[in-house]
Amino acid sequence: MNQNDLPEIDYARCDRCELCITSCPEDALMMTDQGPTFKLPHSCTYCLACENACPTAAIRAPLTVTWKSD
Amino acid sequence: MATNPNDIEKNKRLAALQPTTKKELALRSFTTQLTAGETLIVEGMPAEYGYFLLSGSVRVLRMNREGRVQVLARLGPGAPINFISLISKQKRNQSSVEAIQKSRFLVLSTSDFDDLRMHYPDFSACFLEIFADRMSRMTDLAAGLSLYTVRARLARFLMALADQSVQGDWTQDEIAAHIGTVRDVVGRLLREFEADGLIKRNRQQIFLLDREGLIRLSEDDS
Ligand code: SF4
Ligand code: SF4
Repeated sequence: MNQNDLPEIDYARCDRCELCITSCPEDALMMTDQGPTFKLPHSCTYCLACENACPTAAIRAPLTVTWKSD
Repeated sequence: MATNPNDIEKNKRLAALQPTTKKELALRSFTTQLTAGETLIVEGMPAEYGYFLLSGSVRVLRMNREGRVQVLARLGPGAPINFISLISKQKRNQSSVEAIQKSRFLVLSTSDFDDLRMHYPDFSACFLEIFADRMSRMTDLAAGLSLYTVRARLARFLMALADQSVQGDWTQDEIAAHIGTVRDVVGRLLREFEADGLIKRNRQQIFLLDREGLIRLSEDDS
């Protein structure tokens, strides 16, 4: 995983309800023919709002857990 | 259409079967592969196959009463999948299963599963153990729910992920299913842990900052 990783959208599960788009505080998503996609990927703060809003579990936003090494 | 015997040897339970049983299982089963996001089985459809996850990881999903799809579990290599549906009266898939990453499966049809159970006692005993283990895990989870607070369970699980005694990148949903709570609670507790200086979040990264504090919290009983 790196800084630019984004929530993963599974189009096979998506029913195009647009709840992810309306829930995004950064307006980072837009609807396309295949389903929601990132119009502003760099605006995404990985806040998890779209994953929480999705009723079909089509969005996965995995978290990486590590000890802080310093 | 047969399974490579090496795949059977890699599964701890199946490797312990008698050589003749393993040979028969290899002949009657086959392997399949899914990429991330592909569906293995669909909830409510006739239960036709049971699976052993050979590599990768999957999530188990079920539709709740409000019509939302909920994550019930996340499974890793070695996990048996859907065998309870095969022996249930309704013979319907009790949940949906989807690959989280590229995953390989050993596949066994209902009729071959039934035949092997009837004619190979060690195969039957292997499944009794699988079901007994599942019962015991449920009992442990129930005991954990009554003995430890959800904060303690989350603190333990975050440490297990950081120590890599549990593998993979987990979502809030998957963590919630694993520790016996719901996603909203996981989200709220992560924010509280961050406010208390126990963790720090940076996008998808959660850094654990205070080992002592998390250990203290993990012993918090209910
Ligand atoms: S994680 Fe947050 S910012 Fe990124 S797309 Fe989803 S809702 Fe928008
Ligand atoms: S909320 Fe989920 S189902 Fe609805 S459009 Fe977004 S990804 Fe698709």
